[in-house]
Amino acid sequence: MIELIDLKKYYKIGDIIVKALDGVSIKIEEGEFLSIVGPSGSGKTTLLDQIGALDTPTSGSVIIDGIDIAKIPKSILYMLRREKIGFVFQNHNLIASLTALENVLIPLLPEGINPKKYERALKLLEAVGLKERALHKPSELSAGQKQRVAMARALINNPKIVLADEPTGSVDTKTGQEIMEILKQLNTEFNTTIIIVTHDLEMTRNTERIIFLRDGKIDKETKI
Amino acid sequence: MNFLEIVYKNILRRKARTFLSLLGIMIGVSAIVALVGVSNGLKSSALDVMGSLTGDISVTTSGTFFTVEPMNESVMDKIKGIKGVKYIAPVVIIIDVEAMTGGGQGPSSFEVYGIDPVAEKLIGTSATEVKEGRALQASDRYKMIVGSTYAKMKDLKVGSKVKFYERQFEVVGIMETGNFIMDQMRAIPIDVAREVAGVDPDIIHMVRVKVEKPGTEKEVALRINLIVPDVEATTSSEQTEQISEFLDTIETMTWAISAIAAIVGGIGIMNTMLMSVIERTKEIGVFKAVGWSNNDVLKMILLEGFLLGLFGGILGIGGGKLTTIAFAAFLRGFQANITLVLVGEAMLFAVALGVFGGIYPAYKAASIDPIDALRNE
Ligand SMILES: Nc1ncnc2c1ncn2[C@@H]1O[C@H](COP(=O)(O)OP(=O)(O)OP(=O)(O)O)[C@@H](O)[C@H]1O
Ligand SMILES: [Mg+2]
Repeated sequence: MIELIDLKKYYKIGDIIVKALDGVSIKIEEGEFLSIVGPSGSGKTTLLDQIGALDTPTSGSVIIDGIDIAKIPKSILYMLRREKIGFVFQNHNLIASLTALENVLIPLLPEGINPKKYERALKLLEAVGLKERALHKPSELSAGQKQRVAMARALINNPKIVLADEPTGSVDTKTGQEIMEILKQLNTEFNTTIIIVTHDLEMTRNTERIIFLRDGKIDKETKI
Repeated sequence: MNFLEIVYKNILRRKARTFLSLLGIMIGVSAIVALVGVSNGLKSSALDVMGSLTGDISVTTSGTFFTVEPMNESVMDKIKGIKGVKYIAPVVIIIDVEAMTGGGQGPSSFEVYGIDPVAEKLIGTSATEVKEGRALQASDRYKMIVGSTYAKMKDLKVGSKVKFYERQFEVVGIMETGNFIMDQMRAIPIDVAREVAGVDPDIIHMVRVKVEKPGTEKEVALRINLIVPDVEATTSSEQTEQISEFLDTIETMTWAISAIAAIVGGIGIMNTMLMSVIERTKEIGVFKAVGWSNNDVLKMILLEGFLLGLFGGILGIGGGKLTTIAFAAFLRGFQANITLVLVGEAMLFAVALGVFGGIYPAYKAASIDPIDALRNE
């Protein structure tokens, strides 16, 4: 379970304080499929980064499975990222010099890779429809394919929580729908908690709850 | 795929830059290996030459270790009379001016020794270690024995005729001692030497002494110095020490100079690695975002430094070896001595440079904040 309590993230640029998140409180149950929408600059990525243990808040709490992220040093947060969270970034962020398969395996590299893990990576690539592209470099893949490699990478650690920042932002509606299907399947089959950020209301139809952000605050919430 | 593989890929990704940083280490390590190897080689040659060249003690005019000053033969009687002296052998040294001006030859091929064959046999010097033909005999006149290296250089065999100071000499024997200085030696009978050099028949340049009891060399040398005027007696071990001290100083300087060269190489590594870390900020941010710890990143960059050091070291040792081969071609018969210890030290040095050069870049990489890295386009 994820619980955000009066979460604030302020950035100070010179004398100006940017309130990227300004008191957000949400409870997200295990196995929920949630979408966050809002205009550009409303704090969506900032919110996702907080849940993804990429950053610590200015104030408030981010509690993941009983652990308050705000209370642990940044240098240890990687454990949460490694073990619980799969992140699909706003732009795929694949490593250009590595093949699709290697990119998927990156999170496992520090602990060592065995044939079993290889197999899992290949299976994930198959699941996202890229089995034939496993040995291609990102530059040889289309935007949608890259995004799907990034998804396979996010799933390699069997995360309980998958966070996807505009996973369908750079692809056409059909590919976008395919990506949503994969996430949906993950959600129903493995009870994975899934949170996506999107500005495409069409995509939110797949999700169970929509949170509308505006100026770092929750504007409204809709259950579908 | 494993950790090493990704590190390897990272290095190969920027070939030109990697090559340049390798070059830095390589030059430093080459310099160390070549200079120390050469100095090792000189040391072993110079050291084991002393005993056989000079006998237990060598006596020359005072203060003339490196030049050839004549003495009168009468000193021989004085030396012979000193307690503890067993045999003595005189030497006349002639400089082969032609060889000197001809150039391109080894260090000892400029000198020709005039020796007394009988005394030589008694004292048992290298002039008696003849591989082919025979040693000089008392009855010999225009006969010559030559070192094997010199023979090879001049394509001489037993029975060959050589011209020296306008006279025809016949090569009667070829010496082989295994020492590159000794093996470039030439020797002729002492009275013939005086004759061709046009010096008085009672001139000598050096007296070599064999002591009665091994272990008394110092004592006997001291006695000679005290009793015989205007000469200086030096034991071969003293000379060995002097030379080895001199060579040690050179070796230390060699290390110092090479270390500076290599440290410059290390700074080069640091610089290029730092640049590559900065270039890869986003990538490293991604690694951290998907679960790598600071230590994982640190390990990756240090491993890059380690590999650069390793490759640089291997290239450097190869380069050093080539340099000594080139050097040996220039100095005939010379053998540089690249010991396993030297290779080990050079390798360790190179790897240490790579790792040390990598520390700061690795620290920089480890402290990249994934959030900043991902936001920066
Ligand atoms: N590191 C930072 N320093 C200063 N301001 C920041 C920083 N990161 C984000 N912001 C500001 O916080 C606000 C929220 O940014 P955020 O990236 O969360 O928006 P978003 O909703 O994801 O927008 P988009 O839809 O364009 O991706 C913006 O005003 C942004 O300028
Ligand atoms: Mg965003």
